[in-house]
Amino acid sequence: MHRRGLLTSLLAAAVLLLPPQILPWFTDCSYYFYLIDLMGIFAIGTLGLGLLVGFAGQISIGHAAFMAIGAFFSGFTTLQLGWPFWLALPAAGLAAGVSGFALGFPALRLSGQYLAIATLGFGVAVPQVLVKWESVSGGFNGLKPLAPMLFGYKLSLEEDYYYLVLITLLLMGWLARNVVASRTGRAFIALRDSETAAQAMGINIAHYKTLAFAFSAFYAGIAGSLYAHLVRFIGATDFNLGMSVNYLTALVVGGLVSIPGFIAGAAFITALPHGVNALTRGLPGGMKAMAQNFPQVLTGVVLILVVLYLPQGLMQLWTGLKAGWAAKVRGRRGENSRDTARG
Amino acid sequence: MNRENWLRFIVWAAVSMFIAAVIAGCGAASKRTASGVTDNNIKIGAFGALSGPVAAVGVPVRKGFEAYISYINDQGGVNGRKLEVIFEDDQFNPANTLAAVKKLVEQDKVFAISPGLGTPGVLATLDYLADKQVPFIYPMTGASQPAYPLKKNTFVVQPNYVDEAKILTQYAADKLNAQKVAVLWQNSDIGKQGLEGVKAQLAKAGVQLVYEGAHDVKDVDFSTHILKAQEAGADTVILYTVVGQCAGILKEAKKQGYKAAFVTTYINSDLNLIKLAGDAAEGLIVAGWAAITDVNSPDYKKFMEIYQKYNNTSEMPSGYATAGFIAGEILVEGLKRAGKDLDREGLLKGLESLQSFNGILAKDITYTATDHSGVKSLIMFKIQNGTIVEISKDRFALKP
Amino acid sequence: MILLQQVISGLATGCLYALVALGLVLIFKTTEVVNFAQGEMAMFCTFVAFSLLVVVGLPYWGAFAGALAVAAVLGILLERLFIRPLHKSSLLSVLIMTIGIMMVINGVAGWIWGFEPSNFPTAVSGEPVRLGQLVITMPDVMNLAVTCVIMAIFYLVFKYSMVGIAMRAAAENRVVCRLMGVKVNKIMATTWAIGSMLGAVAGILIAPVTFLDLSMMSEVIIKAFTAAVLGGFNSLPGAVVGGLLLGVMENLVAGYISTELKGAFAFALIVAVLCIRPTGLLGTVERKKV
Repeated sequence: MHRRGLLTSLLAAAVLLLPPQILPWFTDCSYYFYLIDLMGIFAIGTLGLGLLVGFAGQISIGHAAFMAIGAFFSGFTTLQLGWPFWLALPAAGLAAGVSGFALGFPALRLSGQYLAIATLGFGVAVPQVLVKWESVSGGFNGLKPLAPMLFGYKLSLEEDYYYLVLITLLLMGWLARNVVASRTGRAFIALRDSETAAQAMGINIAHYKTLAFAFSAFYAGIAGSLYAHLVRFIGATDFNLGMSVNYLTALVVGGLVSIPGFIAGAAFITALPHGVNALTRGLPGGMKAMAQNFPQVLTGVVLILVVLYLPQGLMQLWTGLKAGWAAKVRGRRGENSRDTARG
Repeated sequence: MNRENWLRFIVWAAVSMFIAAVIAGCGAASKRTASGVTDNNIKIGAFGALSGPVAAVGVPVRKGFEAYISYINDQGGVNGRKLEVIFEDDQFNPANTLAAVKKLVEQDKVFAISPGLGTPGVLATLDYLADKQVPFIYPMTGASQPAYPLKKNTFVVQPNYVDEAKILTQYAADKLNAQKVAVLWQNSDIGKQGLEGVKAQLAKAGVQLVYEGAHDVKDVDFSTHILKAQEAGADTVILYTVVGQCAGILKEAKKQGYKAAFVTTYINSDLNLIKLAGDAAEGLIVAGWAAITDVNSPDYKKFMEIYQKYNNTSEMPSGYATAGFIAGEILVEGLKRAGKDLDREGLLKGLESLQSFNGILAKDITYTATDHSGVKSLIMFKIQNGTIVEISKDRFALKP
Repeated sequence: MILLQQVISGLATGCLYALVALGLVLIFKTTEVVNFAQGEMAMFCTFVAFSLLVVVGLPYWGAFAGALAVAAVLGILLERLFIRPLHKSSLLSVLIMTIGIMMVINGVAGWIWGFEPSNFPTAVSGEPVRLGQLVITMPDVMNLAVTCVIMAIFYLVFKYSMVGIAMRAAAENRVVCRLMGVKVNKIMATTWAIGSMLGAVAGILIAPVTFLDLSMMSEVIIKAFTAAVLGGFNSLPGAVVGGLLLGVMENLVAGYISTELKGAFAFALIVAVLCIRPTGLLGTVERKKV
């Protein structure tokens, strides 16, 4: 087992780390790495939302607002205050985290549908406020953050940015896994399953609820900062309700309580419009009119189907496949050993 | 999920990514190829919102543009080459626009980008296209960044809102005897820039700004704005908003019996405005940068004929469709002048040789080596008897 | 005088918010679903009315009735096919479901009717009523009248009729309801049908103001949510009171504080109300057992 594990790790490392170095020699592929970077960034944001919604059982339809806070914090501090990127990135996460903590307080008194609406209101209000705050957000002209300088190296190529996103994603994923496995994680789950019961068991609801919001916002803030320095143009109105809905969709599609699921769901949702665009390219004229709304309709249909038939998201397919395969293997082994009693 | 499964997942995901990237890499040609031009084909890329809330703008733009391109192709194309258009949907999200443009330039290897719709998308991709020296013809936005400072590869067509607002204010002062002006503006980049322009011109025009009120993008209640403008005694109201809101404001003004001169931006030189506002639009003064007024003029009729034929429809084209059409006209003219030996430099030079170029809808288009800012003067129209008519043949520009 | 005019105009606009909020609250009260698709359903039915008017050539009230019929069918179908299977699922699932429905309806409407805006006729036309310096248009009067009538009908039905009592009972405890012989499924379907019809009425009254296009309900739905929160999400009269109050307050904010803040005001209001008094002005607190 050890040798297999080592081999798999090496293979994984090679596959993850080498392509950005090799591929540019063959072709212009910054488009693909741009998409992969976006997927990774979105995955970080989804991790945070997953902690809040999947594990702590809260609802948030305003996640994009925290991403906006992180993005503009990072953009503003690097552009106007001259902060170095390695400082702005975590600081952006912290800034967003603090606002998440602040949102947690009113959330204490609300649950279910009311919480959904409150976060909706928050999510729609923040971009509006940001737009008015012209000195920070550039108003309707937005901000144009620069490519980040890290260790004296300018990350302006998508292939290079990839490493930044990858490392951050792995770090945040590791952090998420540790949170879930810790006492805090167990408190979150208790909170989700029954708030009243949790309280009866002595868990400090207020503490953990606000902490959950803070965590999710922190993740979104980090994602926001990475986003700002990748796209290098951010307008307050880009972080709208549609983006928040995309986050929720990623969560539901990928699997509410599965960390790899969060990442898979995020990748799926980010790639979906581009995939559909590529598919509908070759369609004849009459179909073109249909094609225009296709990504939206498809997303809606996917949402409906997943909710109806795959409540645990895509990861349910994955685990289902694995279980089926394992059962098959066991079955064959059972036949060979003629020991059918042992399943 | 334990560590082994984690690793399996990572490997699985990464392997698929790697394979996808390699396939894509193999699919594409080598790194340096001719950019979108073959012996009988020119690839053109475009972007705009084709779905989502701004689709009402993007879809007509595309229809107008592609109608003209199909028309040209039916006539044999440009210098023996047919034009192939790849119009990407960015859903008005600049992250998507950047992705779409990268794809067009790097994967599809388009020759040029024309048009590009939407301020956020344009602002996000402007520098990338300039860096890669891809000709960018007609970024459709009222923002001023595409025009100033000058970029070799970018050719602007419509005037920006700040300059337009200045011209409108001056016009109101000179021709409408305006003394007290009110500005009703949309809470977006359009309205903000319009207000800025008006304010900047106040002193020169000798008028007073007595009231300015903002409304949201989808607002429906304008009673407060009209009441306040009336209360402040404004004799002229400048409207900086889009067709839906403009119609709503005009209807409210009519309802309250507010008699002032109403002036609005070229965004509203659109037959849909009359459709929506009905007779509340009578007397409205609308700016225009393209002479698309008289629906009975032979030029407009030709445009409509082309539009309706290639879109298989009998609907009236909207103002946005005319913008798309003009983008096509300018692009094609530039390509024609670049000659049979076509490359990007040639296209840029070809465009810079345009002097008072007149096409079907495009009129008086001039570019020089130092000025790519396009149309700088406006024609003023009035809505009379349910149609848009030119007030005069004069064009109004900013005096230095 | 300006103040009074602002109030009157605010009430007229508020009626539109109130009608949409009523549909939201009705569906929430009885089936415990926050229907994010309410706006798109209303938009769809309004387009149907438009087609009936313009393409089929029906008179106004014929198209109105036709649209209502379609709305009822739409509501019943959605409830039966997509909402009922989820009644044991989490709140999040239902929420996502309604968001998915919202996207699909919007997309399909785009395919059928395209993206350009159209004019939609008002129910009544004629010279505006002038009382001194006040101006009230006939459509405004109509909106106010319709809202009052609907309110009255709801009040009577819910309080006194068997259907109304059954609805209230189903909201409280479905299992017991079934044991008592109430056809809960039928109640759910009826509720969604009525909620959908309310949305259609709202859409048809709103369209002359906002002009008919795909995104006509996108802002109104958020205002409707605010109205419902303000009035109390489980109170039908609350929805109406909330809507009217919101319409008036928006105008006052625009008039006396700043026109730019009018939009942010609605959201600030949501958050404030939810913090201070989550049940809204007229709502009641619900207690749940563990």
